Amino acid sequence: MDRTQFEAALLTNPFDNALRTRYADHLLAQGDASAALAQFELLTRQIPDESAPLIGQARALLQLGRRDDAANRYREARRQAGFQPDSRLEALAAPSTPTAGPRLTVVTGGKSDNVVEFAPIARERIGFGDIAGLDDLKRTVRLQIIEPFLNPALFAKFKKRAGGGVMLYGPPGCGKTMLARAVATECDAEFMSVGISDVLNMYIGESQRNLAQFFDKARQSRPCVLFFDEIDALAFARSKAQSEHTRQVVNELLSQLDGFGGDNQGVLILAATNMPWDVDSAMKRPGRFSRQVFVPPPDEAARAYIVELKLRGVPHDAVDAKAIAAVTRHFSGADIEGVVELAKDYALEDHLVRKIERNITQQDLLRAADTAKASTLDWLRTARNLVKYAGADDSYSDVEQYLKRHRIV
Amino acid sequence: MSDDTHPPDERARIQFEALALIDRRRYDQARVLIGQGLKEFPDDSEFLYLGAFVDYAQDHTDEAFTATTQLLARDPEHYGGRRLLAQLHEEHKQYAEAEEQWLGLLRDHPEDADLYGFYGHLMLLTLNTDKARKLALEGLSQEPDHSHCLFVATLTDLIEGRGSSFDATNLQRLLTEHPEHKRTAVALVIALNERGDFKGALRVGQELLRSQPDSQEVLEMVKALKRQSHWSMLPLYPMQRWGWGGAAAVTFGGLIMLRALRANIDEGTYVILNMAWLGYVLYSWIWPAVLKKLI
Amino acid sequence: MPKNDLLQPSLSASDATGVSIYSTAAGYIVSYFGGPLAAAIIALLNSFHLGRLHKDWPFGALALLAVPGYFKWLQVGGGQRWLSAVIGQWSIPYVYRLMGVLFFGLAYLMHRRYYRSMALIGVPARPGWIPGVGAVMAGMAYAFLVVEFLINER
Repeated sequence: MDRTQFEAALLTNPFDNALRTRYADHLLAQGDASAALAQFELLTRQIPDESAPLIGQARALLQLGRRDDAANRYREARRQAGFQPDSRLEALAAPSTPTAGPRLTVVTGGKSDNVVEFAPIARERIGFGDIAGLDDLKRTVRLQIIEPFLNPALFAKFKKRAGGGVMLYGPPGCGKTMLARAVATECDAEFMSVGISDVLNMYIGESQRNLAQFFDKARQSRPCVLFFDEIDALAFARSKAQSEHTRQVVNELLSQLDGFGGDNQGVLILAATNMPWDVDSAMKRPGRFSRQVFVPPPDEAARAYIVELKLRGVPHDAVDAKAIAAVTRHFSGADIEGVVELAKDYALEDHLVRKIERNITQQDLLRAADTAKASTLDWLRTARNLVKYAGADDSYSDVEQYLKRHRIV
Repeated sequence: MSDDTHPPDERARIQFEALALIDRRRYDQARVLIGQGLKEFPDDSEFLYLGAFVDYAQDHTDEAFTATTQLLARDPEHYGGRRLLAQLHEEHKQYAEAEEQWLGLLRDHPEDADLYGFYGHLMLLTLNTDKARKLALEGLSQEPDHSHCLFVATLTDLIEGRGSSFDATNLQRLLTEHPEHKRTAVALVIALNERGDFKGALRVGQELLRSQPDSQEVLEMVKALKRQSHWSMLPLYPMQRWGWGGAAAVTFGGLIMLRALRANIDEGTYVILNMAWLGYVLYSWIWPAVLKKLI
Repeated sequence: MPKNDLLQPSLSASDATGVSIYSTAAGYIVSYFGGPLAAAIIALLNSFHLGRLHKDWPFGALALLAVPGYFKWLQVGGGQRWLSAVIGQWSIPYVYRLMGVLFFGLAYLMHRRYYRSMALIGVPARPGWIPGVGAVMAGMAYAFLVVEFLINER
């Protein structure tokens, strides 16, 4: 389609967001960044909870040379649904770029690419009170992670090992990152999140250096929670890796965890992964991530809470969230969000196609739940293989209990 | 979009990050980067190759085939593209086409041990054991510890009945040089099985499954090993250990023994023994199939 | 440089989609019920698929000769009397089956490398039902004809 055809199509169907997105992308590809920006802004107004239009705005702004505005839009996009990282914008708006507080810049060799910028992520603080349900998990996390961090002397008195990191694992979209942030709040500590894209650098030794700098920064900001999201990417099993670079990053992470780069006292190191089996086995040894906590899909109470939360500020009739929770067994938080989004589509379809103005109803939600599938099932099946056939060691015992309780094994 | 709009090493950066993600099997993230690379550098064959590779790794073989064909139409000598095409042919069981690709590659890169490993493996799949062995040895002469060539050589040892003892050089080298490699574990499982050490084979298989619980291939292997070492299969040990030779020995040995006993025992005992033997024969036919449904 | 013969193609268009033979289970069962000729038929079909029929055909000739040889030994050479005296009358049909299985053993030795390759590499066997039933019927028919026209004639 060319520009004229897009415009003609949009005239007949101005609410077709997918078409408008393609039109905006087309404009951007043609170099008309201003027109593209206008289209992305329009899309942002129409679908304010989506990240894609904001990323589009950021790309258009970048093309217009407004780098700071682009970085700001991109950071906004990170907080929205369906966020997919864009490597150019990632470089521009490094996750740790401070919105407030200290900033450390390390420049090496005069190359702008080697500039590592980081700072604590300034986001609204989430505590355990903000997480509904999952009481067992919260109790475990308090006992195994928070209390040893807050009362090291007490644990030392009882000769209870309390040091080292903690790895949260479980199916995707079940709130591991949120839990880590809540741990930081409960520990009254700074929260610093590190992902694979923050570390990777193509120059020899730079990835390791980036990693070391994150540890240094966390040590300077103690008490601090240093959180490695998707640790399987950073600590990918060396036996499975082909490239020397991957192995070197793992080696660096191991030595940082062992405290060769400095004392990690006062730094709580948390990690999250969907694929614990891809994490190098050396990471699970004492003093590293020897404690592993399974984060299961949200329980019924949590699911009901998520339904209520996602309906907040959205026109809806009286909804029995518990009934929705009952039919969304094994659904992750992200899956439930998807159900609510689908229900919104049903209501909007009536608005736009049948010209019937109405709120979201219980029926919409039930229909959406019926259409959707729990994305955690694949993960749970894989975990079942581990428990049932691989004679897995104790590290998966809580998964085993969960599977037995839900009759998946 | 012209390259002038990008920092000078933008292309290399995207390629490096995409490769790093592929190495860590983060294919979805790699796909995003590759898409971006293709958009910004549409003439760069490497992005097309990486895209095809990600498709292949995620079992989207048709898409991978299309992308590889496109890549080779643009750059017929692209090494990675040619290798990928050979692997895709193998995946589609187009063995003659795959062989043609491997031969072409070997003529252009006679020093590349990887290619000997892959071509040797194809020869194993097509029951050309002698050639597979020669190829593996040729690859090992180029690179003495090459894991794929050692694997092929170990398998040919086992096929010829040479490898079930652990002083067999190729298996030993595989165990020493690549102890954590998936291929080593598979070779070890086969060797232990050959020795009749079913429990040992199961332990190694389980270890492998622990590191790759999402692999259907490994799961099926462990299930088979679990069935084989199940306590209820113990009475069928001769069949498991010596295959159809064992079955023949049990069948005819049983018949002869029963007939020999007939003269020395009373009729009632003889009937009971006959029934027991018949029950055993039926058990050997039915139980493995039932166990397959259970495990 | 690799030796030139390694760089020659080994796969023709006919085996482009893969080479495989009938399973050991198929060979054993067919030989047990069909006797030596059935064992030879399956073995030679395997030889055909492996492209080595020109080498293996004497095995078929051996089976063709073994069947009349066995019955002749039973009827004329005193085999029946000897078997009855040493093992018992009951053993006679089983000895024929045993002979079939022994022929399968020979066929296995002849194609051992291929059977083991398939088992160890995980190459799936050819579906063997139709040729298996055909081979058993041919083996039984041949035995019947041999007994009817060659042995009973006399």
